[in-house]
Amino acid sequence: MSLEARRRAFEPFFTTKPDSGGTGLGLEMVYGFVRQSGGHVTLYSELGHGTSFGLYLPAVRQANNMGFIALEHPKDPISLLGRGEAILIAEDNVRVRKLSIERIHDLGFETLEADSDDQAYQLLKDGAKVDAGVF
Amino acid sequence: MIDAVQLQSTLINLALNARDVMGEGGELLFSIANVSINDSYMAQG
Repeated sequence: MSLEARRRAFEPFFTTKPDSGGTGLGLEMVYGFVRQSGGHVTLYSELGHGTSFGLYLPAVRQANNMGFIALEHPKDPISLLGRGEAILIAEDNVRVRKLSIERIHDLGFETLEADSDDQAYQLLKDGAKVDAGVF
Repeated sequence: MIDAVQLQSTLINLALNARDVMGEGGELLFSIANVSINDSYMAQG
């Protein structure tokens, strides 16, 4: 991978193969999944030689011979769901903004959008009711 | 616990990326290990 590709590998919609159907969402999905699972991702690459990804995921502790149980404080995915709270999303990249809105909406939140911090500030000044913001 | 379906998608994703960049063939290796993330592990970089 080139330096540019390494830097932007996990960025949504960044692809080195736009002509052959690359969506730029593959590694973004990998990164999102691992981070949401409480882990992290490493990337090591030498141009022309190869690339290795490390996916670090939290371990489970062995309970008995029958299987595994989760650690004491598993992240309960249910508790991450919203109940219509309003989230203000400020993002200048229109595709990233649309994707963010779609995903946050799917999690049960209402969304407001702004294409800049200034616009977000204006919305808030004009009295928009917002529970949290993503900038 | 992690989501099995998402893990499957993740591994397929990485495999497809590897395939796409190795047009003339190459080596794709998956390995799995338990590691303890502690100071000496971090120091190895």
